Amino acid sequence: MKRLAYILPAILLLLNISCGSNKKTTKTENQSKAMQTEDINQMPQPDPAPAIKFQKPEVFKLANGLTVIVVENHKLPRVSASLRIDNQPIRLRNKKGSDDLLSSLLGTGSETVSKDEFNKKIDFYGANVNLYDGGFYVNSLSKFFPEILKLTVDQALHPKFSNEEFKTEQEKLIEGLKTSEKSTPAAASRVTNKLAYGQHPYGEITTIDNLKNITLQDVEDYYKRRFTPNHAYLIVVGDVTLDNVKKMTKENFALWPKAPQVRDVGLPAIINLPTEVDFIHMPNAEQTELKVVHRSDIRKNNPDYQKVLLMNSILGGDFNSYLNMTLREKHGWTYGARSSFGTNKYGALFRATTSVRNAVADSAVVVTMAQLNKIVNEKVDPKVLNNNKQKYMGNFVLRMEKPATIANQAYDIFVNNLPDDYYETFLQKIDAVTVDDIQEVAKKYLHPDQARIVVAGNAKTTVPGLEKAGYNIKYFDKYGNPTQPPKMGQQLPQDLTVQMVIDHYLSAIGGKDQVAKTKSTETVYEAKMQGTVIKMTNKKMAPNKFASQTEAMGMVFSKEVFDGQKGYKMIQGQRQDLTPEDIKTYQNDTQPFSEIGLAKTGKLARTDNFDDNDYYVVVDNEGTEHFFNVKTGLKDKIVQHKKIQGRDMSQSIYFKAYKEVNGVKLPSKIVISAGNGQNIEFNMIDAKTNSLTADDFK
Amino acid sequence: MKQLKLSLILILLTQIQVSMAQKIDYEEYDLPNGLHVILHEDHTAPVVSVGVMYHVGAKDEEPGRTGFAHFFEHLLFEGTKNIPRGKWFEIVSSHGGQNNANTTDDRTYYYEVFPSNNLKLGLWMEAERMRHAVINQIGVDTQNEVVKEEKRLRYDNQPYGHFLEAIKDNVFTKHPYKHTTIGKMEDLDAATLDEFIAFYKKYYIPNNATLVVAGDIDKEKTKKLIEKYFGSIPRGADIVRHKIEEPPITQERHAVYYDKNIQKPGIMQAYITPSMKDRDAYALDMLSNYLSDGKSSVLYKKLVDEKKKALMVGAFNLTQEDYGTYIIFGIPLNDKVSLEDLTKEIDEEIAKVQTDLISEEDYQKLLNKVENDFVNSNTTMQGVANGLARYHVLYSDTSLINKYLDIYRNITREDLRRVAQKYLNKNQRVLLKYLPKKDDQTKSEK
Repeated sequence: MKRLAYILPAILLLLNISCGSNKKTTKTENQSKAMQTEDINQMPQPDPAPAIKFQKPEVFKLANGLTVIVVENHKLPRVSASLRIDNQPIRLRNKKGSDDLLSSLLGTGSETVSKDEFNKKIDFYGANVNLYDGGFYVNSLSKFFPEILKLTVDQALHPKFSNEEFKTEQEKLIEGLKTSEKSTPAAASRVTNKLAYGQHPYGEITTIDNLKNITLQDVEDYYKRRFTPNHAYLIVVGDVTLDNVKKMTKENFALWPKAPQVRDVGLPAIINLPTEVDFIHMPNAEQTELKVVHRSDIRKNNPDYQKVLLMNSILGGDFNSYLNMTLREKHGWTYGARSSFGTNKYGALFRATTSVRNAVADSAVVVTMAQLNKIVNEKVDPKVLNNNKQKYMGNFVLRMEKPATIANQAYDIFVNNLPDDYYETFLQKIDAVTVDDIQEVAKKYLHPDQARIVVAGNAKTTVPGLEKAGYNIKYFDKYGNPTQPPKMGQQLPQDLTVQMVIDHYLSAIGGKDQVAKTKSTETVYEAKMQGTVIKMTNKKMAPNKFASQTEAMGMVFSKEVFDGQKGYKMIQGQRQDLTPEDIKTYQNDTQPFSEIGLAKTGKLARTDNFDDNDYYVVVDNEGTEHFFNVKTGLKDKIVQHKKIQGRDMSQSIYFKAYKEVNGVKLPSKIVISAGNGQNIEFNMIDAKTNSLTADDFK
Repeated sequence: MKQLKLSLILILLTQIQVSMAQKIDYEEYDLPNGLHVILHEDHTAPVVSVGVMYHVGAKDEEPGRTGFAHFFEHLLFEGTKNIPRGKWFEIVSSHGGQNNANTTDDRTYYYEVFPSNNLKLGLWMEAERMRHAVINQIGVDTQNEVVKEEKRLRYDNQPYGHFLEAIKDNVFTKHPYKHTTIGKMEDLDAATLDEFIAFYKKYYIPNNATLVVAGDIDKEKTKKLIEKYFGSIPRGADIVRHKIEEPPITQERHAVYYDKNIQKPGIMQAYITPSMKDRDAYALDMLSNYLSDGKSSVLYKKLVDEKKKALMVGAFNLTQEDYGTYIIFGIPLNDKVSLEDLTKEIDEEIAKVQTDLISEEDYQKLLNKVENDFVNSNTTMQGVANGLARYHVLYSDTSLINKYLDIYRNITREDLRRVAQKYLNKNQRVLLKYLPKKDDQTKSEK
């Protein structure tokens, strides 16, 4: 009981809630049903607030500097222990990744216990153990805890690094990075840290090149330099006694040698610059990642801390915040939007983050910045401030459910150099914050005019809007290196003509002579769809004769015929003569190579890029886009646009694997995509040239 | 020799020390309107959790209306007759509370956690949701957009994000487990307001709900409050459930899925297993731990550690009310290792558990693991409440919260071999290749 020393009196504030109605509810259960109905339509008032019991943790220190924090709690038969080494971060430069490799290598064997033996025992006891470059975490049933702790400390303090394990872990890390290579969220996080932290160690990113550059010796050096007890904390929580922990700590940690005192050099500053957009073009993004960041100057030992906490809570700390209520609840653009102020004493960032659909990413930037400006420029509604105070007070109570909270608070006090009664007086400080305070700290700590707006998404949909909004835009690759703006389609070479594109195409498929010699083509393709074979036959003949037919299960599904003057369409047995408009379109086509005619009727629209290839896009009279490969000259894709029930629908058709047939190249594979993943792949099963007569178009 | 001695000591050690895993005391009863109530009193911290589990999940959706159950998890925060639109979260957080909800294929769960002086508020809010939630077009339209973003965030924009979708689609042919919980966006777009209202009236009724109150409460007072807030909510029409039978897989199915967010392929095997209520489901859980949980597990040790063929390998038993799905997956370490090779290696280990008994020591390891998980699942009032609700709603036996450890303990090594023989055969599975996608590839092939 001695340790339950501090009991905070009932937090009167919790009673202080405005509910929209002051109606007193004094009714008893025996009252009439009508009264009861009224009662249950009324939001109930809270009961008197519960007292918070502050359990004091036990703290002791070993001669080598290790501080041990113990919180006894015998409710469940389990114990957790974590070792946290609070060293100032250092720049690793081209050896960045040594820390990741150390994390991988810890636990792969000690001087006396092999990796296999260690893994086997940890698993046998059903425990969770994680070793990393800054310490370890273990969680186990209390009956196995002494053994688990001993095994883990042995791996951490007496590691035996082998070259074989090093090589394995190095490859695993490299291959692991590849799994997120195309991930938009991963690219956004990586680049944000690199740009916002700049020269600060937190801005370094682990790359495949760095990982390849690191040797086992680098990792061992890093371990020797960093894995030291001078600024280390061991936090033990759960079903243990203080005496036992003292005994265990002595046995396991007493011989951990203190490192020579090194004077920490100053860390590079994190620099805020005038607001700009840092754009990462990710063509595969399904959603745009948006992060507004700048240096955070608030620390937990700063008297402004509670004010900033509440200010951020109102801005983007929870569901009800400015950011979430506009971006999610008002506009429906995102699943959520949040903000936070980092407080790490070595360097930290303010971040406002969200993931929005691509089409509204530019607007989301504008709305996000408007919310940041709002909290700087406008006074917060007193009711909103009060709601946020109540949230902190209540959540403070809820956190007490976990014994680890007490231990984490004690750790916080040590690491951030806070007064001993920091957490006991925390809620009083929260309560004292005023509406004016909120605006004052917003002006002081929030800098919408000095922020990096990192956007990872599709440049094509988002950049025009951002340019319109007047942002200065810089471009970066997915590793944060400056890069050229992606090709947006407006920079067609000045002297390029449609004819040149078509000429390149004609020479790619066999040359003008061969094309001129080919008076007709007849191709047959087959596709399989859910077990059914679909057969498509196309006949084309100079100057403009055309016939096409699809069949499945021996039945003609659709048919289209044009003999040069007239023709018809047949869809599921329904025959329809071609309209004068259709006839005009067919007459203007040039068969068997409609691209020849495209040189006269088409317009060069833009350049584009897909599957890492560049394309010239030619648009025909009907609005269909033809994609000609800049390098090979071949036509790889067309996109047709149609209006169906008032909605724009597009359909892509890909032409692949061009194959020579009597001197001209024809696509041996045609993929028709409806855009939603329902693709049909046709493979060429037969192709002839100069085999057709006028009879084939009846 | 040294290894053997060590093992013996380990086993001895475990058997001597008697587990002290705690017992969860609870009381349960039904209100006349059919609402099932479970109370758990624990004064350790001044915290109370109020949760309601509705026995409705994605598997109850009408054909062509996937995503409905999950959509309600959004819709039912929009407001009620007495809670104005958009105020739900504000009321909770301004009273120091936290709340959330989640949906599976089988059930939907809503909860609040408050400092215990707000027990009444928690009960009132859940009663409001059950009695007269407001379902209108503006709420449907807003949440429809939000859910689309949730889908993009969680699945469409994540490497390997469509892995479960691809498995479910290929494993199930008739049963609604074929669909994802989040559903198809076209289905949600096509749904009418009347359909949403009908779904609410059908499933959000007291006789399809279980209310759990856990934490710093006085049981007798709490019962009176529950009667006051929930007692007059009218009982709804009984729900008739028809289990859709999924024909067993009798011939190995091959499938391909293309994901544009990845550049390393993966291979997945999936088998249909019995309902989570079946004793065999417990055995399959243990078997998945044996195969891939921890660095000493057979698949990790062999494929990641020793042969260095896999970057990642895992096995898990996705347990559900009607059927389970046993999934084994692997990502090759590099392109020198083919998916076929990885499959062969995994198959060898399955063949071993089908032929040989696992060692006594490994068996003891599995029991220790189960015990550790059990203790860790009851660390918060919210965790206890969720457990109590789940055992009542999905297993029809609340007492399992204290008994399930014994069920695992009664599974024998022979049981593990038997379930491997019964459920994990090649002709009973889907073999799914999960490959990097290019622009012009179809998403899936069968």
